[in-house]
Amino acid sequence: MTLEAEDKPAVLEMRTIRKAYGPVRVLADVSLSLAEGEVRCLAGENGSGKSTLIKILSGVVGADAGTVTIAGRPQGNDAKAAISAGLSVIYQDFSLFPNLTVWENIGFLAAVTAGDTLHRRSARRALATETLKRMRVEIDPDTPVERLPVASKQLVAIARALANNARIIVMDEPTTALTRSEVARLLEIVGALRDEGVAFLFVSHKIEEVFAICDTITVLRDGRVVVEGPIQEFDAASLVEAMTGRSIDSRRLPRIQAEPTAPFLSARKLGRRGEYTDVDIDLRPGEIVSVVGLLGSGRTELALTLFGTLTADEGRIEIGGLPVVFASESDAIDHGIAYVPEDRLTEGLFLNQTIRDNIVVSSLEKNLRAGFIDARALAQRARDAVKALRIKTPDVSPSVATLSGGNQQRVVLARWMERDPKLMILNGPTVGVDVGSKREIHELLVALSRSGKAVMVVTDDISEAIALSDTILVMVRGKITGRFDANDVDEDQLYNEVIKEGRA
Amino acid sequence: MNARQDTTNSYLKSLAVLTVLIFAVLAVTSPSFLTATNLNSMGFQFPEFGLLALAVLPTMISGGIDLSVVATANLAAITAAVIMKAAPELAWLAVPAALAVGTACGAFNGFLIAYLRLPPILATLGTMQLFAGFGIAITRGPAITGLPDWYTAFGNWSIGGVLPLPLLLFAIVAVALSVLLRRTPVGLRLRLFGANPVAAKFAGIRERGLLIRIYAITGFIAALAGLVVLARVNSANADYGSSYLLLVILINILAGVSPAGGFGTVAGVMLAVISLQFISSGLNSLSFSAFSRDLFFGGLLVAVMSLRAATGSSGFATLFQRKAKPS
Ligand SMILES: Nc1ncnc2c1ncn2[C@@H]1O[C@H](COP(=O)(O)OP(=O)(O)OP(=O)(O)O)[C@@H](O)[C@H]1O
Ligand SMILES: [Mg+2]
Repeated sequence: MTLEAEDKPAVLEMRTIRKAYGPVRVLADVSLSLAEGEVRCLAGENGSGKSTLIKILSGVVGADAGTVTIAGRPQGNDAKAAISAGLSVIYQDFSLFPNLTVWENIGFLAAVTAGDTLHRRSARRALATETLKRMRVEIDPDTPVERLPVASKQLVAIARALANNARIIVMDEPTTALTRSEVARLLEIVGALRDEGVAFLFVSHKIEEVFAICDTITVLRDGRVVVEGPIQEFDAASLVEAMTGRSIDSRRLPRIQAEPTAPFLSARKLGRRGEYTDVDIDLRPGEIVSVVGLLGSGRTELALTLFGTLTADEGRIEIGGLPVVFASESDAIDHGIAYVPEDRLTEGLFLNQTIRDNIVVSSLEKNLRAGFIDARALAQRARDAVKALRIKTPDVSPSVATLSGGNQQRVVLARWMERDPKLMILNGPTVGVDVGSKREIHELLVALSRSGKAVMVVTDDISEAIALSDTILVMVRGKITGRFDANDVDEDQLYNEVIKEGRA
Repeated sequence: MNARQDTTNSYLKSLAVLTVLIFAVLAVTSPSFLTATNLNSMGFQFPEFGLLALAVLPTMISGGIDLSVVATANLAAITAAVIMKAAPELAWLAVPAALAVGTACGAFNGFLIAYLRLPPILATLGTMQLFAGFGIAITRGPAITGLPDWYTAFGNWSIGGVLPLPLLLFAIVAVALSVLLRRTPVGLRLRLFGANPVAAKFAGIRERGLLIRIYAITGFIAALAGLVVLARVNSANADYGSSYLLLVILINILAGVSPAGGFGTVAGVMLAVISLQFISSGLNSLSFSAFSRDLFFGGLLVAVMSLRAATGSSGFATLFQRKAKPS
């Protein structure tokens, strides 16, 4: 396939692209080409410049130097021209319109390029429905996008690119929120389109996906291309090493077995109508419990109940043996519970505010003197947190929107670590985080739990659950259907448990 | 994806330059502008609407607005006037009572917004009518006049003959509000809440208490404005200064406050207040009518908003971004 691809004409050429934000050099002489029907992976750590390169490619951001050529035509700094040239980009943060419905979102790009002056409702809606059918996803086209879970939003963003009949599709981490079966379906779609000659540029931190789908790889490190070539020249270890400059262990993290202690929080027969029932869970200091389940299995609702956002209809929650009722999130926080939400951009971050404020918002008490904030101490604490979590930024005063995706995730983690919680609940803690940093975050969480904190991780990433946890609970259709010691279970076994629909 | 912090600062700088420029132009073109009388009279004029503009600032940073500030100020002034006239021996109570009424009005707005979840613009549109209605019920229509001399003397007193008392009050409130916004947990939470209410909830910010507090502070400052007006015009009236409302919002927009929440500084409001006062006195001394002044201000509001939308530093761009980048 690769050899064939090389004979085909290049549909996309980027040459010696350079970009800096102020003093921060983001891209240095990056070149990249894409032939018809080629699927190229753009790999690199968080902050290596992948998204920036894509924004330059699509004309959203101007390069300082270098050229972009699409289908033989040099591109200026014009997003609309790039779209009409057949380029379609699925951005890391999807750029959907939350207040519009699914079909309006899907039909939107097509409407822009066709220069619709009137809103051609029925045609656009039919196009959307047909695209969704082609992808074999069941989403009601009339739902407003804001009501969809993250994974469905991701599918809608992909459908929008497909509906636009794109010749080049760029996907910046399109699969962060998708489950294995959804990813498999997406890969099928990509395969089919590739055979029709569509070229793909694909960014993902999930190594298996890269090997499952790509023909060629370009690896960025610190804004430079470090290696480039056909997929056959790489294996998982060498790719990771090229990205990070070191080798990363992917096995289960070593740890000292925690002494059995009394639970910090336990739930008994907890239930919430239509979402989950009969959940028993014990969260002990020094133990990491993962809840794995598919989207819609009730895992997020369970976590939100333990954080006081939702209330249970039945059962009880006890902290230190005493029953508690949370009226709101603040109650749970006062009990020493922290929650890292699933959807970083809408629930986690104050995007246009400073990194500093994002980190310290939940722990302002630490730097109060007579009711006033000690600004210097506050900034210093934020800087220490940035260093401790290795957040890539020159300082804490830029807005958090200037950080790359994985670094934004660390800011949310830092916020809660500053708070020093007794129980930390993390919903998808490493979504969008690169392999190296993922390992680091896992190490951080293990260290956190060994220092006597209870940790609960909600995830659909099975290898993450195994690498990280002491105990794994499998949740299927609102019920806990399996309990495993992470030492004695392997990925395939766990995966089969997770997809066992309706066994309960 | 721009660093908003930086654009806020550069916006403030250009606003400062603009203010100085207006000052210079008027000083040269209008012979009566730089006279002591004019400067002194400006010092008595702008504190009232300056205070009202400061009052609205925190609500706008929180992503809301308070349209009832003028009505609140009037109701507070009426309260003070009624007490001073009815019971001269209790006159010392007039000022605290007026401030209490203003704070209560604000807290009531906060309650409507935090507990009944009314959109701020509608809630305060309603209470604007409500508070004005109370005022009319108390005064039965006409203005209350004939306040004690000691009180009106305050309003027209200049410290050492150069620093008008209302101006000093304005400066004190500005400093206090600036400290509140920058150096207290309430101020920081308020800004973050304005930037993203959902994330604020997950970060453990107690929304209800915060909103009630913010609107109560707004009511308190509005009451101060009402007391200043009362001393200057020597009468309390339920529909005084209705044209102030637009001016106050214009000031906040000109000050770089984002209508979508999350941004806004006291320094910006100060500069906007001062430059608008310059313009207004300048137009006055060039003998333009009050009507053409309104026309000018209206035009300015549209121009500033368009400019900020075009340079991407406005709240409208933020609003748009929120739609475009929901996830
Ligand atoms: N508007 C901006 N202003 C300043 N710096 C920026 C801006 N946008 C991006 N950067 C910086 O450029 C670098 C590259 O960011 P980019 O988003 O391209 O990384 P990435 O490779 O996509 O990372 P991730 O895998 O985490 O998404 C980062 O260090 C980031 O902080
Ligand atoms: Mg990225």
